Amino acid sequence: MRLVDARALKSLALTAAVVLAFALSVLPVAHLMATVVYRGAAAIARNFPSILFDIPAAPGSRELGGIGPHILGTALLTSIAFAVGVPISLLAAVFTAEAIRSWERIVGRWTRLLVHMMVEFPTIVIGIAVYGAMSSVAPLVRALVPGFRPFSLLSGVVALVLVSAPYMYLQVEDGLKSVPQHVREAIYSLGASRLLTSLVLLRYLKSTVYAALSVGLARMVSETAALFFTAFGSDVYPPLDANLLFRPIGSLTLAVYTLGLSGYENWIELSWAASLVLLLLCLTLFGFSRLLLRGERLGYRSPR
Amino acid sequence: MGIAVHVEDLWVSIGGRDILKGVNLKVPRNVVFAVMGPSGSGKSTLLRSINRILDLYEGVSVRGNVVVEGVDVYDSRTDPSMVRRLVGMVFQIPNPIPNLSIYDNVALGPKINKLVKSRRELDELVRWALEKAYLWEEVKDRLEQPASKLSGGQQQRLCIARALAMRPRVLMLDEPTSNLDTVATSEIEGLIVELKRDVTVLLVTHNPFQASRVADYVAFMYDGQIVEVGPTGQVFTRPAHKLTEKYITGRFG
Repeated sequence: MRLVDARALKSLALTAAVVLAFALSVLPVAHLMATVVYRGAAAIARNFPSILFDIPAAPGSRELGGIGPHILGTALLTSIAFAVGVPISLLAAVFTAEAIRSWERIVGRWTRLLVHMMVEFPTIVIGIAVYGAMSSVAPLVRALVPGFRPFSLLSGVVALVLVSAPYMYLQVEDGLKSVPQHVREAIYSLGASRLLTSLVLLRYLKSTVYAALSVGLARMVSETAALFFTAFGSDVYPPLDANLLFRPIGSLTLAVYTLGLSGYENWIELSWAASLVLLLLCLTLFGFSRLLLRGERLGYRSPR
Repeated sequence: MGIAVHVEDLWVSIGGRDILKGVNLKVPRNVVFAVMGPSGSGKSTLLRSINRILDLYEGVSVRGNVVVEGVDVYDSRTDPSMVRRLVGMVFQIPNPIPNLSIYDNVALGPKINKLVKSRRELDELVRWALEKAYLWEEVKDRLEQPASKLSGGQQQRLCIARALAMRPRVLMLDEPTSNLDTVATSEIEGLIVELKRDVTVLLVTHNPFQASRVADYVAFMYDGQIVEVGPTGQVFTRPAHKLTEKYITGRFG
């Protein structure tokens, strides 16, 4: 009887320890999210809906203004980087996962090594590298595009592609490598070329591909450090003309940082509003990818 | 009768090791032709070299000639995809694409190769293929269900239907019953015999009894070479080679 009691006591102590550890890990996150929601919602409610479209008011004024240019900047940066980064990641993943000939395998091995290294790079280093590259080509590019500057939407896009593409690549490549060889042979035996076989396999891995793209998109939306030296940030709307790509542009992440550190009450409020919009965007993408992965676990989704 | 598949002095090496060593074979049209032999004798490699599935593997070198229905398979002007449309293949492990429906598994080949112009034509082709594989009655009310829900025998018949939907001239089956129970094996064997009316069937098996049950002709393969070829009755009753006799009487392999 005593033995049973000791066991029950141990079990209770361990359960309590697990619950405590869980609470210790979850509470700070929950507190963080609650603070962002509380302060962000208060800021947005104060000037809704103009806060979503206006530019920030003068620092220190009683007016709040808005984060319109930053929302537009994030939309432009992520949509262009997504459009460029997705085909690059998918094609690279298909190439390295489906490599057969020896030269393909050698290129694939080096690509994989490079991508693994890129995942480990601090993103601010990627930002500096892109800035350096853009600065060195700037004199040449200016001969064709007089308005070209290293601090620009284009540089921001390049940085975001370099930051997020490795994540998308690795997830899709892992998915392709997990496909049993007999499934690949089945598609190939139906008269499909190697490229077509890869495309059918990507469709077979639809949920994995969507989840990888969601992760990549979330990475783009939430990236800050790489944008300091590239997109640079701007609190005004850029003129929507042919030089749009070559001008500095704002983003929500840069707004959170620069407005938050400004010391002006109204800009700090805007920083909270930008944080909440960013949080909602990331949670939506996270929820979307979870939903897709859940669909894959359930096994079947009609392709038509 | 004519020759459907003509293999002439075929050498295949993988990773520098010779797997096929000068194989010669003539498969008459519209028969069941079984290639039997112990594991590792090169039977599956022979099939994979006929439809160029070997292209999927690294370090493969092929010498010799393979002609399928007049098409020189290894001619540099021959499109490998066209060869695989001409020669359907069913594998040892039933391999329907797991997250595609029963319908979509059969429709995949015709869709990839644009064999049909309308949805109605595709529906008819899918039905025809499933009927040929004696699966239609069992699945007609659940075509949208995932193929992975079918039993092992049904999955293998689905794979046969998928290959037939390409309207191939030759159907190759690589030990199609080795993962199935006796009931499913008997169903597939019955189907193989029926299929020769429409296509030439090239069956690889390590089971001599299966070859004797379904084949019109058999070839015995050992160590990358064809030891003996002939009509099934003749090979099983009066084998010309000692190795063949030992194999069919179960004394080796």
